[in-house]
Amino acid sequence: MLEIAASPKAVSPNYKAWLRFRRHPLAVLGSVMFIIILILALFAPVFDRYEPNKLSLADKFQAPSMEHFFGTDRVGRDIWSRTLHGGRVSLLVGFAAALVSMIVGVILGGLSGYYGGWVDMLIMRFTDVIMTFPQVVIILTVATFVGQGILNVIFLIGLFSWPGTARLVRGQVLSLREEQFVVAAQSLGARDFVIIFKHIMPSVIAPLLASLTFAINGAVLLEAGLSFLGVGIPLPTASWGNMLETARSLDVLQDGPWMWIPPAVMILLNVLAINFIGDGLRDALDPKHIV
Amino acid sequence: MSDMARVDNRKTNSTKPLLEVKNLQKYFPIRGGVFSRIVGNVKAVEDVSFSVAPGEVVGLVGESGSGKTTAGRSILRLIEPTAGEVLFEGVDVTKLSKNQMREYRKEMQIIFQDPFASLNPRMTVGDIIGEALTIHRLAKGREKEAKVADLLERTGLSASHMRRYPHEFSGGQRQRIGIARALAVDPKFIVADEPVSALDVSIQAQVVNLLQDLKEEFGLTLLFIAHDLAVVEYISDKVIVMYLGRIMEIAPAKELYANPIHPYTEALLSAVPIPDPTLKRERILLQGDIPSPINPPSGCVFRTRCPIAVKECADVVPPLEEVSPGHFKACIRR
Repeated sequence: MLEIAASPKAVSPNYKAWLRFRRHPLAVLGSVMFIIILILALFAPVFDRYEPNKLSLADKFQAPSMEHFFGTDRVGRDIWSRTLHGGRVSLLVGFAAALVSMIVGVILGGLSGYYGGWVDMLIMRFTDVIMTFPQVVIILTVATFVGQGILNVIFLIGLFSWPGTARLVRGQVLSLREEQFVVAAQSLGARDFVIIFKHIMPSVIAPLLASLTFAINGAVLLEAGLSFLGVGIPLPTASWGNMLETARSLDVLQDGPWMWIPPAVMILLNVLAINFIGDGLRDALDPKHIV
Repeated sequence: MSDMARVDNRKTNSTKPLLEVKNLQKYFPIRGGVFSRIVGNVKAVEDVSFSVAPGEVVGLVGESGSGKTTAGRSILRLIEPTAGEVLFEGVDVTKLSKNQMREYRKEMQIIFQDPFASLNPRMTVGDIIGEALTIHRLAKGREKEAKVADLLERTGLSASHMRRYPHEFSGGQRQRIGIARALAVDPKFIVADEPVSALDVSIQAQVVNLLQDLKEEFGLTLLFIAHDLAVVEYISDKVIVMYLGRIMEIAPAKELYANPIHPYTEALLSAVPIPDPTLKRERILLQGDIPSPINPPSGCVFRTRCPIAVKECADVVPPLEEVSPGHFKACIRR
């Protein structure tokens, strides 16, 4: 009477989400695009033709050709190689900065939501303060103090973009804390640590994953912006942002489109791909689908 | 009466209660205004006292909003009571620190009303039931698995269900999982918080029977919360009737059903269907809704809906008085 005649294998909610993700056309398209970009960036040394930072004044400012797929810049560096290697830097900054902001956001948001009261009050007011600062302006200011460098850019972006995540996590935790299965864990005598990480966080991960993808995009764009303004990744190291910066003059804009189109298109495709993935994740992990 | 018999008698009388609740009170503050001042209180539980003997099943009944769930959860300190004492084996658990309380969680468990919300949808049944064993370091590895399998079998499920997720089960089966979880730590006392209210009537009987069997098997003491007197009558030794956070009547189950004293109990009983269509019975229909617990009526809280209320009812809160052994009522009119 109590036997279940259904599926032979237990289906976890995560597996079901994966099945839904696979059927989401945009998500699949985004994933494919992103994987290609990722492979190009990760294996840049395999695909490049020249040293990305090597000057060759004899070859300067050449239009695309079979020698130089995307042409060369004004000091003769190969744009194709620089785009690949720049992708490495831009993606690294994007992922690492998003990770930093996630970690800070999850910890602060989690504490705030779970403990409530004055802890919540304190953390949320601090979050508000961070949010009221215009992000770019404050990063610019701090960057002039701490100087340029990949690590600095990662932490600057990460440490100033967590408030959104913190609020998201706080809201989720706040509602999950009242769930009966959480009360059940409390009644069993589970410690706060166990309750937060075993019972509450797995349910927060779904919206968090979606927001992580958008955070990566935010960080990639912010890095590009900072590099463009000259406080991001220092030259000669290539990043999509500082490649645009090097192309910032009227004659290049008019006569050398090969210098700025590749990094610009890469940023565009990358952001699009990750956005598609994020949308797909959000739909696939929608709790309303989970029976 | 011989001396021996008297001694024996005294012994049984002095059997210590497993759980003693004294003047339990729970107010939920209502905050308002710019500075979040406390502008009022929801008086969910007010001056509730009762005791539960070892091996006894005590039914706690009352309509929605009568504070029975709040009382049950305050006893387990899942919500902190505002005042009062909860003595478990003589120890006041309301005064224990969080860490000390953790030890007592092994002895006092709860079965939840909603079998859909009370199981973590992301954990397998085995993990859900085994969690308590891990928390209290009672078993691990193979031993834990064997224990979980045993619990599943005893609650009428099968060991093979261990690797499945809650959403693959029906309401009744989920409630069995909830029961298995509560039993995992071998508790002495279980609060069953409306364990069958969310289930189909046909399944209700199964789950109540299961609880009855498990009670014998594990020597459990139960506080059975319900809004359905028919279910409570079947399983309980003693019944407590609550209204608007206060106790109206306490009586041995048979006595309560045969001889209700409080008008509220009468009204509740008259709503229990009798499985005999030829039998006619006078139904007592209560007028209106249960008043707001923010601003409960003065004196007897039931007076606003009581068919026999008089002016004096508004003056004093009627104390619980013993009318016959074990039968208490809080009414000045009866």
